[in-house]
Amino acid sequence: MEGFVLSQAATDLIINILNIILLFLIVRALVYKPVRKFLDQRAARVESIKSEAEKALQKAKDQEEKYQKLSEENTERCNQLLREADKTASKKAEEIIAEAKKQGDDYLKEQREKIAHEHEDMLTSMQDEIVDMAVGISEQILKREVSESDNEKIVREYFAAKNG
Amino acid sequence: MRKIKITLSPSCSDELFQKICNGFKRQYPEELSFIRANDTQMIGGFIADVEGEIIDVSLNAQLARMKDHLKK
Amino acid sequence: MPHNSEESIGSYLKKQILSFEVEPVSYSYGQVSKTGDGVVRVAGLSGRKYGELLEFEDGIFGMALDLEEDGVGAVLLDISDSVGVGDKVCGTDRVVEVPVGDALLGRVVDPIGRPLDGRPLSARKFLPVERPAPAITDRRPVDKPLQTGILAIDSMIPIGCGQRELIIGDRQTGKTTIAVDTILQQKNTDVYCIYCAIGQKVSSIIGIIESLKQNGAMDYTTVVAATASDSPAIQYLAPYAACAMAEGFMAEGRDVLVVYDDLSKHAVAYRTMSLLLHRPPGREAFPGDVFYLHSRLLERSACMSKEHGGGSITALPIIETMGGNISSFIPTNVISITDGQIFLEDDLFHSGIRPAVNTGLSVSRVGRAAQSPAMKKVSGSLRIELSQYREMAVFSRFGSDVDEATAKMLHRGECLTNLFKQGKGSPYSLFEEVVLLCAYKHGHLDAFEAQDISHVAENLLSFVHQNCTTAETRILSSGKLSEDDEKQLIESIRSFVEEACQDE
Repeated sequence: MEGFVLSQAATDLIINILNIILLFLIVRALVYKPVRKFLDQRAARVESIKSEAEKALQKAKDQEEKYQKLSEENTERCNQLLREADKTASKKAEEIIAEAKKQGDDYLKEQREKIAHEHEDMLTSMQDEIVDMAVGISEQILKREVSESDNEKIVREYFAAKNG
Repeated sequence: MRKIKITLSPSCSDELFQKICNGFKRQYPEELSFIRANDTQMIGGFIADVEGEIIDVSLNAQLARMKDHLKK
Repeated sequence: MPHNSEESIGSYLKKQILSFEVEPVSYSYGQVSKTGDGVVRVAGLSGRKYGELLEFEDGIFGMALDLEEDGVGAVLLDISDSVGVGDKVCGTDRVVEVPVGDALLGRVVDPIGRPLDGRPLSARKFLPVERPAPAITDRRPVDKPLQTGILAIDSMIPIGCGQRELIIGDRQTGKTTIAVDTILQQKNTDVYCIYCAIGQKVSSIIGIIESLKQNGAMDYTTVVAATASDSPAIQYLAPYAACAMAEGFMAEGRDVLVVYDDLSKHAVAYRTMSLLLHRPPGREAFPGDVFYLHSRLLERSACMSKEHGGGSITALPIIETMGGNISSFIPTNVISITDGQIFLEDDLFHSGIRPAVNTGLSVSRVGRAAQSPAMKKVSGSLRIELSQYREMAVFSRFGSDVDEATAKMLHRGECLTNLFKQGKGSPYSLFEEVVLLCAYKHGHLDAFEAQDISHVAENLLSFVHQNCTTAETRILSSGKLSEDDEKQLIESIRSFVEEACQDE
């Protein structure tokens, strides 16, 4: 009877062990492998994301360098443009000043000539007035003073000159 | 017959007019007829209009010439 | 006048009085034997010169035009009914003279120099209206451009300083507009302008003067006005007076532009005078010397050599035709005298093409010698392209299918025709003309519809004015288009076209 009991326990043990092994195999096949696969995939994804992130970081670093360089170049270009603009502006200012000076000189010359002309006109006008007055006075005086003998003298001198 | 118009001051005598006529008669060989005209504005001398030509021996003309000469 | 300021007036007058000699004054006179319609026959008064000024009683003046053994035929320079039979007429031993010099700038005067604008005129110098033309050896070839501001003319019918370019067309075709726009374009240049109105209505002359005033052109312009109500003698003298005034400026080394508006009425006034003077009438009742009337006037326009001052007179005579007939008497005369013509067509005007320049019949005999280098660069093939377009346009009207190249040519031709349309009183500067033609030449306008070209041109010019200021300054000052400037312009035009296309 004891032998029978022991073989029953051994059988149960063996069956249990077989069950465990079967369970292990089943769990391994149904759970462990997919989970492992899933975990591996996840690790791979993480790895690829990590490598992409590293690449992006590197790219960003490269862009940053590039932009830094561009920014430095642009700053330099701006400075150069500013220098050129400054030069152009100075040149333009000089030209404008020279032009303004020339215009001013021309205007001054023109005004001086105008003044000279007006001075001349004024003198001429004054002289004309004086002449008109003098001749008018002479006329009035002559009207009173001319006599018959003066007229005779005029006639005589005319015909003497005419007849040679 | 050539017509000559002599313009004088009204105060000039007829003798003066006659002297002028005689002067022109010596100058022009043809027959002449004279007309006297009076101009109250005339100061002295005379103006003779000899059919297309004016001979101005008046003091007015001399004063006008003087004026032009001085204004030159 | 005292010769120097140190000599006082008194001492000068004393010296003059002492140098005066008394001598009789004698002068011959004539008597009016016949008068009517402004023409007078004077009996006597022999020994006068042709064109001599005659003085009538009451201070009226006339001009001796017919010299005969026993008398003189004269025309009155003023319309007067105070001249009667028997009135005395004296010669003055001088010809008609006009004042010249800077005192004329901004003034409106009549052909004998009397001011018409209500202010006194004091001139120091006078010149006779009739003067001989400059000698051949005193001249130099025409080589300096005169900008009109009208794109069609500056690009294909260029005018140079010293040239005579006739403006010919029917009534109301824009002849005076072209002349006035050319005057407006001379602002900010050294060119003085003289506008001579012959037989025009007073209202028209006032309109032109107002237009010149509003645009600041009267500062450098003189207007010589002989209106339709003036005597034929005054209308006859007007262009010669204007030319004498121009010669006064030319003698100072200046470039002058003279517009004679118009010589048809001038010929009619001369015909009127000649018929009243009983001169024998010839073709179309004009006297036999009607060609000489205009040839001696226009030959006085010249470009003087440096030794003779270097000045120039550019003449823009205007002739009005009837029914587009340019082969009638007066037009053919003047065409044969001038150095080219700008022919304005009625049909073009009424179809909206203004200025209505017929580029096929218009020509400038001076040609590209009178173009600035910048314009030469961009206007090379315009005439040929327009001519080809006109030929092809005839076929396209028949509705026939055209190939791609022909369609492109037609489109470009239509664009060019619309590009040449310009508003009244809106002249283009040289820079603006170069920009528009550069845009056309490099095909940048092909992207737009032909009917939108005027609007596109306006926007393009605004754009380029803002973005190409340095190029603009260089082109305007030197008249040249450097490669850098051309690149800058093309780049700017390209940007504009891209923006414009995006907006659409």
